[in-house]
Amino acid sequence: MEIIIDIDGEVPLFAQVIEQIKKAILCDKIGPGDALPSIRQLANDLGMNNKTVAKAYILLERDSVIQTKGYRGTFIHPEAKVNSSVDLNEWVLTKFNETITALRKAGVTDSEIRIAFGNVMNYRTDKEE
Amino acid sequence: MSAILLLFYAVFLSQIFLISIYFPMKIRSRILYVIKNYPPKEYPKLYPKPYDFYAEKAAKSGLSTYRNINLFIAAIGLGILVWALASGYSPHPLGGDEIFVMLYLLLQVAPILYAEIRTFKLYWGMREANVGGSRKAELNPRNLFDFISPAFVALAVLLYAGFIVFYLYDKGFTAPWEWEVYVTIAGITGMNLLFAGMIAKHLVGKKLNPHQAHKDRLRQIETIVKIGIFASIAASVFLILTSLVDKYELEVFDPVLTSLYFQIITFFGLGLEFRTVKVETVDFSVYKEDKPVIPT
Repeated sequence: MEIIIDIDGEVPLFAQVIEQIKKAILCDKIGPGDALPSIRQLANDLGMNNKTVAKAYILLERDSVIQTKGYRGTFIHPEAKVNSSVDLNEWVLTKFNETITALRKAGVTDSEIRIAFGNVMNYRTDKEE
Repeated sequence: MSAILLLFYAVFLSQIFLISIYFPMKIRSRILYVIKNYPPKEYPKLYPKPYDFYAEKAAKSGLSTYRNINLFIAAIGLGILVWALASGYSPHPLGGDEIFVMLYLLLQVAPILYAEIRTFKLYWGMREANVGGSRKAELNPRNLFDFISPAFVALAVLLYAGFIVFYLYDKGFTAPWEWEVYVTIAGITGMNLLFAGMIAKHLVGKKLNPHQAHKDRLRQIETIVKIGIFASIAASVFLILTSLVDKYELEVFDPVLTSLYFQIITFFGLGLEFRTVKVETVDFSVYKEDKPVIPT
């Protein structure tokens, strides 16, 4: 199974890698238990930075599309097909839309929402640090 | 003429033919085949630098020089043989003459190394010219044992360990040893590490040729893996044999053994590359101009 990345495309490279792997799973080109190339191999084959592919793999693992089994390598998750059809970005957008609509209905202004959002995000980042 | 002397002349003659005539001829005919059948107009990606009339003339004249230099080196070798015959030379019974075989070999491999460097520079130019566009990769992991049987890898490791044990048994297991022992062990270990690094680089490293088709890349990796493992096996066997030759005071065979070792390495190294990656079966369509993407 071959993946093609558009270096000049507007979509970030890590997002293209995620999209292509999910597409391969949804088209049954690769299935549960199939091994994936190592981060280094895929990055070198695509002429990318290792960190870009690592980011894509971390996000795919978070979404339970792939699983890393230590030194044995990275494999397609048993529930990968179901999980590949879940679009977390879409879900985030829906949730934000719902919340922002509710806040606006309650009379909160856009600038108040932005400041609150920034505070929440900064608080989370500070806590993580 | 003694049998040892006859054997030495036959092996040295074979070295001259194999490394200065046969393989350079194959390399040259391969390059000429590519220039003739895959012109820059149809295969622009194969020529990262402008390839006009003068560049073509320069390339062809370079190939002629390459052939002439190899023939000149072969003539030097034949001259050495004639001189040896005329002067009644015979290998020194206490060894040491293998150094001359190695020095001549260095001279012989210089044009081959030059050709390799030029190929590397061509790939480098292709990589520099390959900015933007699309990049392709296979979603299959590449493992060492996809390209070679584990038995050969095990044999290489066993022979390496076997040589170290045998060598130390011969020199005595108690340290400190003479500096020669440290140099030999460090040399064979370094060489094996070099082979391992070369194999790892080809397995998971960056593609040298950015346009190479996937099936051609797999064939190339297979060749490199086999050459690396085979060279490791051959080096261990060669060192065990030379140790045995020294132990049983048969150093007179050292030049023959050295020449045979390098010929076998060249035959199975370059030879394997020519057999596995035949130029007629290489996918050159990857060097054609990219077709414009028509939006749907």
